[in-house]
Amino acid sequence: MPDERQLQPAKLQDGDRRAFFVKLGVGSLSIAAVGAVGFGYQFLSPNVLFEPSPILNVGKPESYPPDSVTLDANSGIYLIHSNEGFFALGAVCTHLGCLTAWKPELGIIACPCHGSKFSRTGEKIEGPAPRSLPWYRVWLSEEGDLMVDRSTTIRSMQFLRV
Amino acid sequence: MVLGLALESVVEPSKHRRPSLWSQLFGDPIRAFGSLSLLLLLSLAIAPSKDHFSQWRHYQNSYLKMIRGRGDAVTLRRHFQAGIQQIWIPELGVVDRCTTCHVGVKEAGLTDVSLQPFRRHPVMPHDIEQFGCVICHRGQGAATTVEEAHMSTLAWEEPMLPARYLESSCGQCHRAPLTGTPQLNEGRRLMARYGCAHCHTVKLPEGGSLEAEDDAPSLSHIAEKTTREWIYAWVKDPQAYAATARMPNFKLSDEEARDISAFLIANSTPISGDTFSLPTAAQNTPSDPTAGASLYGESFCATCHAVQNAAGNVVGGDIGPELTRIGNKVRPEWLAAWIKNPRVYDPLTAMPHYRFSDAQVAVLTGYLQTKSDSEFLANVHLDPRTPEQVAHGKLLCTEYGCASCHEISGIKKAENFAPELTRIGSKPISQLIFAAGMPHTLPAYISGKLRQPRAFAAGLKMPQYNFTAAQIDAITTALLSLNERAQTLPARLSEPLSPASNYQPAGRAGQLMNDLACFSCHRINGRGSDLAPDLTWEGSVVQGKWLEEFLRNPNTLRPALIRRMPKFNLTADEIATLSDYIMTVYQTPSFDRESMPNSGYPAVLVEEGRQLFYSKYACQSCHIVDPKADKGYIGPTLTEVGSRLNATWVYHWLKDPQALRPGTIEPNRNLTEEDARALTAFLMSQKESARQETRK
Amino acid sequence: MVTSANYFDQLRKSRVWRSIFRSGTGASTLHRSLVIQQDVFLHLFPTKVRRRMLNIGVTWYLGTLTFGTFMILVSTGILLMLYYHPSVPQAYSDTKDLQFVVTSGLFLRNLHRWSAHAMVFLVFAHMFRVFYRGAYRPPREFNWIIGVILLLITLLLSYTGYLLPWDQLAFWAITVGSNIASAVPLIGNKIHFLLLGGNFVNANALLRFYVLHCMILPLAAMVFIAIHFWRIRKDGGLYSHSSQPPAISDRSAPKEDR
Repeated sequence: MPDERQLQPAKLQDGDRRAFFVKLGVGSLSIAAVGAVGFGYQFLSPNVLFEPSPILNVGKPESYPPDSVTLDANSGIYLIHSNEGFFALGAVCTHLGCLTAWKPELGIIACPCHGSKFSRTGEKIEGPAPRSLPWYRVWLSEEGDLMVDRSTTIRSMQFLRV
Repeated sequence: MVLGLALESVVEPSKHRRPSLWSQLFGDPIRAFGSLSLLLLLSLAIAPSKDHFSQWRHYQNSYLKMIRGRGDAVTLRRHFQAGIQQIWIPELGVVDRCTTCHVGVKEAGLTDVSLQPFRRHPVMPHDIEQFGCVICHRGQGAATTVEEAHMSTLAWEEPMLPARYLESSCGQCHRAPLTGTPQLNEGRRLMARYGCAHCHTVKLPEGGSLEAEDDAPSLSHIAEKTTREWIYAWVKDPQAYAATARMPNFKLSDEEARDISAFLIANSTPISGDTFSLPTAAQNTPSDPTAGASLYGESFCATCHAVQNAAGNVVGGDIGPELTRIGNKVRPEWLAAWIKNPRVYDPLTAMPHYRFSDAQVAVLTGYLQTKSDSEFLANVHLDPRTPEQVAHGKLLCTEYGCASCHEISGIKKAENFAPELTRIGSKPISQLIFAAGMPHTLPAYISGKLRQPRAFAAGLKMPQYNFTAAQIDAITTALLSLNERAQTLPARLSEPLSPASNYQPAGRAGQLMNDLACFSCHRINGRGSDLAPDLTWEGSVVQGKWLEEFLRNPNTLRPALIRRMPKFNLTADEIATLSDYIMTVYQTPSFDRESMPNSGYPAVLVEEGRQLFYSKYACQSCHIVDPKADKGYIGPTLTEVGSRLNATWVYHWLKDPQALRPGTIEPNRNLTEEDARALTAFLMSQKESARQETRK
Repeated sequence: MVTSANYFDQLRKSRVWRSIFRSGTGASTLHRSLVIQQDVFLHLFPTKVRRRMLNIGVTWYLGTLTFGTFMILVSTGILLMLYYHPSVPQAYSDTKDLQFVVTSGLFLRNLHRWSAHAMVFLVFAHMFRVFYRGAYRPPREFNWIIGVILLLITLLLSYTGYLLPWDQLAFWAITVGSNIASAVPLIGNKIHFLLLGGNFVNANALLRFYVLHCMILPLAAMVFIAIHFWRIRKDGGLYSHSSQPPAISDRSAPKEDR
């Protein structure tokens, strides 16, 4: 606190002095209250997270032969190299969360639990699944690796050409 | 604050009394309210200001300032992520926030930046996202201040590993030698060579314990071999007898050495069996220095044994003991019997059983007898031993753990004789006693212990080794890799050493190979040493006729090498047995050795091969075909390769050498089939007979 | 005072204030009494206090300051709980993460720690003052007992909080401390066993100490603090003559009481 603030009021009238201290007190408390809200927000939002990153590095595009469907069971995605380009599908059935399986002989993605069927581009062919499989954002990193962001769904039929 | 509000509503304001600072600020409730509120605000402001001025924010800001003026600022700015960065690998227990400050670790463009923490990391053997930082560098990865992250603090004992010991981190997972870790490999080799594991147990993560490679001689029959005086001098200071002696110095007093020598002689038993007798010729034949020296040379004794020359340099191999003062050490009759057949005294010795004639034994014995130092035992005078000395000597042998390395009848090898070293690399420094003036770090402790084992406290038993500074660093590196993380590694990351092979060839050939100690130099099916070529596929490599001739009279293939195959004086029967076995059993499954003829290639093809050899592939820079013109000494000489090697092997070798012998330095030149065939034809034309003809 | 009193008056007149606190404005003694009486927290206090009793020399505000540190401990403690898992693998790293990555986490932890030290100190100072001023004498003897219970709760809060960082200091301090408990005749080992939930300081002990520290002991402290404050009023407030310095000079009166 600057000295002048302490000294100046002394010269003032008693009432002014009181008013100054009241203002000082109320002002400090108001700033403290506003600060506490900001502080609370910063404190409550964690700076580090102990959760798996939604962004996956799935390796070089060359490791996926053309016209192939690759299931990464740990991350729950399909990486598909079609004639149009690369795309990534969620591999978890939209019905009750079973891990689906690619049936190369039929050319469909089928859920082993309740028989839902999806096309290779994730569209629902038959129930009981309520929705098609989600398309995730796919891009190429600067090192030339394919990256998949499981937290970002995109509209279907957006292929990544490499 | 609460107090001020509460009072305000209850209490009437009082009058101003004295104009002191205290009463100015706290003189009445209103003033107290105002001042206290301000104080509260100021004290609460500590929190955000501490956060704002935190170390990692400072570094991130300096990084941004640093890259601002650079040409690649846009790229660097795009890669930069503000806030605390974390690499979290639950499987390894890694929570690393190092990249919060070390922002440029992965920036290939920052080659010119030498300022830490922004320097880029040299080529990383592993992906940082999959391994983090502390796996290799140690330190406290979770910390976000320099001191906590790098140093040893009250709440974290393990500081960062000094860069010179960094290879130890590779050894946590990689038990087998890596090309990139020469220091670690050397440290492990030294540990095996000096037999640390004889006294210290080291349990390996993959199961089992570390094995020592040295086999200290059995002392059960030592009286047959040497004298009490020599034992006395040896245990007092082994390096005084031989500079390269592996036995450490136990710093024994005169009395201790006297009593130990008394005990060992008294404890010695005669060797059983009647084969142990001095060849009669040896006693009478006068020693002939020139004949002895040439036999010593012809037998390539120097491949394993070293001798100190006049200039003081120790010349020769380090597999067997140094022979500079062997005449002072062994009894002549023992030496003669040993040279005749070492397996009588020690059935498991690495020394081959040369089939020397009695005359040769006498010559060699006489020659070795001359290797002595008249002054070495001159000052050793021991009175006859007393039972008290023997008893005390036995006690000393037990206390110093002689039986940990040597076989001594009557003393059992002690279990857990010295502290276990399984987790020495992660031992908390609070559990260590440091010598005065020593930095309190684990590497300093370990290297200090290796330098002067007994400097730490009185009454310590570990003997003194004569390691060089580089050797101490290497062993420290190897020891630091034996740590908690290595023991608790997920199986996926562990790269255990392939278990030692106990391959044993069958039948009479097998006995013969043991007798000749083939495995002391050659490796077959994973067993043996890498001193000489691996013989696992030898039957596919060479021609049978050449092999027989080679076993009869080994001539060298690589003139640049001093280590050569010795001549064992085998009988024709023995040669036939060995060569039959090798040619029949040691064949590669990858091709049929009969699929290409060893001779009879058209001259055109041979000439084409010659052109390829000298022009296109310039093989003569490493190999010699024409001894007059070619100067290549790196690879084996190829003057008579057509009589030696199998055409099919040559062809496949040319196509892909590493497929046949992983790690060979022969480059893979990606030859076409035509080129490989032509070169094979040319090489197969280089025959012994052909050379003899040209000589004429 | 002029302006602020006006604001407060305006606020107190408002309907929202009145619906919550019921007491209105007014400088009359009745109004002022109503402010205290009608508030669930303030009614624990005496309605009237002699002005002279509010001089710092009388009580040194030790009880109030103790309560203040307790409130700081409660508020910071609740915030710290948001980043702390009472489990063996995580407790220590959570404590360190408060220092390393949680915004102002270290400030809160330090505040919690220093307030805890201050509270123990203040409780003792408070008790010494009460003792040497003779404020424990009838009719306040029961409040002295409550105070002793609060002292024990304060010490237990410090002790249980000691284990939570799960470092070496914590582990061995609790090991030693719980071994002291087992020195109690006959039931000592049972106490030790129940306190730790086992024979060693381990996961059970950590969880038990956590529950004690964050749940049982603070609740108990609040209940006893409420009784403590309420008893001040019931025992005649701060101006009870038995605690006045004049009473000390008048030494014949207590003797008669005995």
